[in-house]
Amino acid sequence: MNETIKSKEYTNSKMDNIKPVQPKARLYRIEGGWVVEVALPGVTQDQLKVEVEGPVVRLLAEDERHRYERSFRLPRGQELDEVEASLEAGLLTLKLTPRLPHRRQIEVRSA
Amino acid sequence: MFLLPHLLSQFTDFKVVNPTVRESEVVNKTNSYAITIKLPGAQQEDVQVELNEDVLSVELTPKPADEVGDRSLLWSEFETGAQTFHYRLPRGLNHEQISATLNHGVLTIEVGKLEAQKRVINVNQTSEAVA
Repeated sequence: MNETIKSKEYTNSKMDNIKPVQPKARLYRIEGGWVVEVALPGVTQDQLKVEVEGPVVRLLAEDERHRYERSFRLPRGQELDEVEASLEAGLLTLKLTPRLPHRRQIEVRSA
Repeated sequence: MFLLPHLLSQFTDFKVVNPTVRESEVVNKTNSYAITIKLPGAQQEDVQVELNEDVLSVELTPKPADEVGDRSLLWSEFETGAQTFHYRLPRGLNHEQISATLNHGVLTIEVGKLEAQKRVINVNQTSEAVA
């Protein structure tokens, strides 16, 4: 995984000692992508960060007592194109749309 | 669940549950008991709270999540279906003073305590000799 995504810049110093937990998730297939729902009860919009890098979407959240961290990776060879994120009633919904692998047409010349 | 290995190879970072997240707690406050339950995604109409004598019941009837619109559920770590939680609280609850609030997927219920009836006993003083 890429170095920037591993970095700890996002953490709030006073929460550093709290071990992050992995929130529960639910996965759906939709036409042209996936929907991931993540349980983040008690978390508000300003306590949540969603980062995208290549095929990986990563979420980081902190409330007064918990730190949540989880990342999801698209199948091999796929990059994330669009990520829509919405948080309602402590449930984060991520809509993931992959970019199709880049195709190049090769011109065939006759000898 | 037998599909899981296949799905995991596709979508790697899914691991099952985290036992360190506490789902509910009861706090004994000076004048009340505060019960908090994590119900991510729950709407007001999905939750019913009842207090019967000293047993508090919370019933959760979420909408089925497997087939909403044109999306199909691949797998889930969520508990699904109706669930009921019961909490037996100590006696002496004030049934007139109960409130339930749903905030960002956390349900908080506060049940008041009856004020303990105090009886003050007067201490009499005598100068008679103790037998």
